[in-house]
Amino acid sequence: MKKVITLSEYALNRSKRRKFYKNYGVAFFFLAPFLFFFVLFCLYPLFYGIVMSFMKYSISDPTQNEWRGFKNFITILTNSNSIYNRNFWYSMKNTILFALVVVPLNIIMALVLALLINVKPVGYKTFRALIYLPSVLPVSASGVIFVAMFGKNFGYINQWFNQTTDWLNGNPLTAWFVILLLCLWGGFGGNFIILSAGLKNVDKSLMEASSVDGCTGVRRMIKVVLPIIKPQLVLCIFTTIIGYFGLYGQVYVLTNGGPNINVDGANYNSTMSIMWYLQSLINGTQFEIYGMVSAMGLTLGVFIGLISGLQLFLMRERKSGTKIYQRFKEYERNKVEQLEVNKHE
Amino acid sequence: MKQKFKLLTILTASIIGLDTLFSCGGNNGGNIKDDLKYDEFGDPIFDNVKLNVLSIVGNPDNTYLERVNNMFNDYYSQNGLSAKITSVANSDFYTQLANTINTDPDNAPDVIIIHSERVSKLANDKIILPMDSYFDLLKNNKFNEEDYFSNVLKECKYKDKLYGIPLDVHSGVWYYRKDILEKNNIEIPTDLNSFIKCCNELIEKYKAGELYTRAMDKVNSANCEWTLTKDFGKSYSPVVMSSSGGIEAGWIPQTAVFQNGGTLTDESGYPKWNTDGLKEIMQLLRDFQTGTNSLTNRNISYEGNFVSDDNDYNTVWSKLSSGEAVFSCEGPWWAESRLNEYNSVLANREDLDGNKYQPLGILNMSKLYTFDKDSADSKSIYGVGHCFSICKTVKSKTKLVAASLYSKFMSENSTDYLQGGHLPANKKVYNSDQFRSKDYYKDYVQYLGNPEDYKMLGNTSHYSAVYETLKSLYMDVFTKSKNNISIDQLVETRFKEAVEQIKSTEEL
Repeated sequence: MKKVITLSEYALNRSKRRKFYKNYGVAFFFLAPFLFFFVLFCLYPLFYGIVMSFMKYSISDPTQNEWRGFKNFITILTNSNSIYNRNFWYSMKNTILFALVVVPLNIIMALVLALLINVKPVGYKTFRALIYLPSVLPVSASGVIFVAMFGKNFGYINQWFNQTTDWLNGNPLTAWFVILLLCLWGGFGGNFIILSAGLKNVDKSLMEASSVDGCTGVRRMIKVVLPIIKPQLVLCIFTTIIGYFGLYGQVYVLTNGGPNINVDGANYNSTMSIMWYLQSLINGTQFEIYGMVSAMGLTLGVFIGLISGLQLFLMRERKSGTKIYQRFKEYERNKVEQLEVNKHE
Repeated sequence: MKQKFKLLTILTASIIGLDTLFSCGGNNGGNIKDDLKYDEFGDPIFDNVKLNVLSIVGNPDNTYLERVNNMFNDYYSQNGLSAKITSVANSDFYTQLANTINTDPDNAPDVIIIHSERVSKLANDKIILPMDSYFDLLKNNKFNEEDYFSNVLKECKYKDKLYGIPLDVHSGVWYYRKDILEKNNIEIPTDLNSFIKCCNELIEKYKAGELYTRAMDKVNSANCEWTLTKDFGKSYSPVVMSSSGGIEAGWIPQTAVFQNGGTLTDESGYPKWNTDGLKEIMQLLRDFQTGTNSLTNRNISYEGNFVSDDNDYNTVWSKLSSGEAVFSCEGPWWAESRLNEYNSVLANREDLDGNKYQPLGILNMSKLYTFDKDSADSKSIYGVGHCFSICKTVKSKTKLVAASLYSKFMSENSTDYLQGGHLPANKKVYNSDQFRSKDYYKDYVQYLGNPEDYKMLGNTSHYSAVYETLKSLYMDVFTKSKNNISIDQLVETRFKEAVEQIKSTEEL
């Protein structure tokens, strides 16, 4: 049965619609292309991946697909008899440990260089460009350079020092060392730019005031500069951590997961990162692995989500990040008032 | 109202999404259109049938495969049938295949050229179709199993149905410096004992300063002159083997299992390669590196290390060309280009006595990995073949028959393709004068052995677990950090890993 509405109701609805289109139509028009691709390439795959993680999912034979509930996750989290469980946690451990080493080094290097450039020495613009230059190179290109440097038989390093060290496939420590070097070499440029921008925003009067008060050198950096650039610093730290959870290209180009080592009677690819492991699973003819891989990806996503959550929590302090600056302003105000009082007296 | 609308939208989106997930592809071979017609001679009529062929065969042998394909097109184009080959790298091939078949079936290939050890897996996953019934429709061109080597054909079967038409069989081979052996009056090895003897003689001569070597140097011809014992550094090791060397990891341990009476898989497709024979040969390979005999029940002596610790994939060819090594393992598909290269630089060079030497030789793996050279299995070589299969996405009976006909034609007329360094799977081709009279047969293909001696993986859908772990075992033997682990432990760890991998996959 058709709903009967009054003319005034119709007019009201029509004017509401017109107002809606007038207010949001243009915005939607310009947003639509982005929204379309966002849904197609972000939301849909995310939704697809989440559902796949609860299934046995085969890309070759959809008749094998079946709902498994949380079984994939239970295997990943609890079933140590499964090769997927063991390799997942081994690669997670590798990734976390690597991030713990590479992130502080990356940030410290970026910060030190940003501080040096902030002093504006002669030719600082050239230095700034040179510092950022490695970040422009894709990992595959810089990886090839590092393979040429650290190759066992024809690598420059071994040839210069007349060595036969198998840097990439002999010892896990040397292999990780070369991966670390590549990550640092090509990885701190972005952080350097962010921190440089942060340093530029440091109020000069604050620096001068701290100098007047006898706070100089390292102390000034720790007590004045770092608190001011804390938001940038926190951002760099967490985006770098999250970035290294996706460590893949460097491992793929340099060691391809190797060297293989035996730990407690089981073999592991010693430089296997979590992303490298997931990628290795979906190569070849293991077509029914996709549900498990999605579950692993989602578990990794939860970890990254937790880290992002921590970042957000810490960034909340951002509002009070200008505390020192506010105190300084208050101090200035009080000083002026005091001077005026003294003048009157 | 708004709430209801939101709920409805979410519900619809979820249903569409889930439906997409469960029904994605779903094209499992049913509903084949019966559009096949015959002419008055009983031959199928093809009206502009174009076969899309996806091939794993890469260069250099892809060039020769194209020649056979062109032959097919020349022969059948007037009958309305043609084929186009697209070559895809091994690393992407199977993932791309499965994805295309299920997400974009309209653009999926009709015929695929794959490694035959993958047939069971692809048949099990319903990616390829059984071909027997379509050959029955080729009334004047029936498929005869007797025309094929049974060992090679068997790998193309799954649950007694034919899922592939074998094209060839091949294995890794040893390239050796024939000139260095002949110049130094050392016999070319034919079995394991003579291989050990040969290496010892080379090292002995080197130590005594009596080893003649020459390099294959296209740039500096002075290096191509015979010199008496160059200084090759700390020691002289005539064999190139390593954890990241040539492709020997994919052939030597597998061949060792067969030559010592074992098989790679059991009847259920599980690995069965953890044999005593394999362990003995793996220990031998470790002894090659240390230069000391650990096989107390074997009377072996070492004059030095047969294998040095500075090998990797770069040294496979570089050490062979410099004359620093005499034996190096690689794929037979390099035979033609390498022989040409070595011959062009060295074959016409004379030594001081006016003698010329053939620079490079090819040795197949027959008898090289067993101490019992007279046993029935000693000639066995682990083999891999290529084969033609039909994808499940083909929905027209005419196209299915065309694909079967194409597969049969390509296999039966593979003579040109074999120039790429393969042995034919078809007996008629193998025994034909056309094949035997070819220069490439005389130059290198004849040294690849007899197709009947090739043993295949076994019909298993657990290819990765069975094959890749055995390959890794070989690498373990050459991995420094595992030197302190006994061979028994290495074998059993990898074997356990293979079984666990299968069980973990079955639990998915």
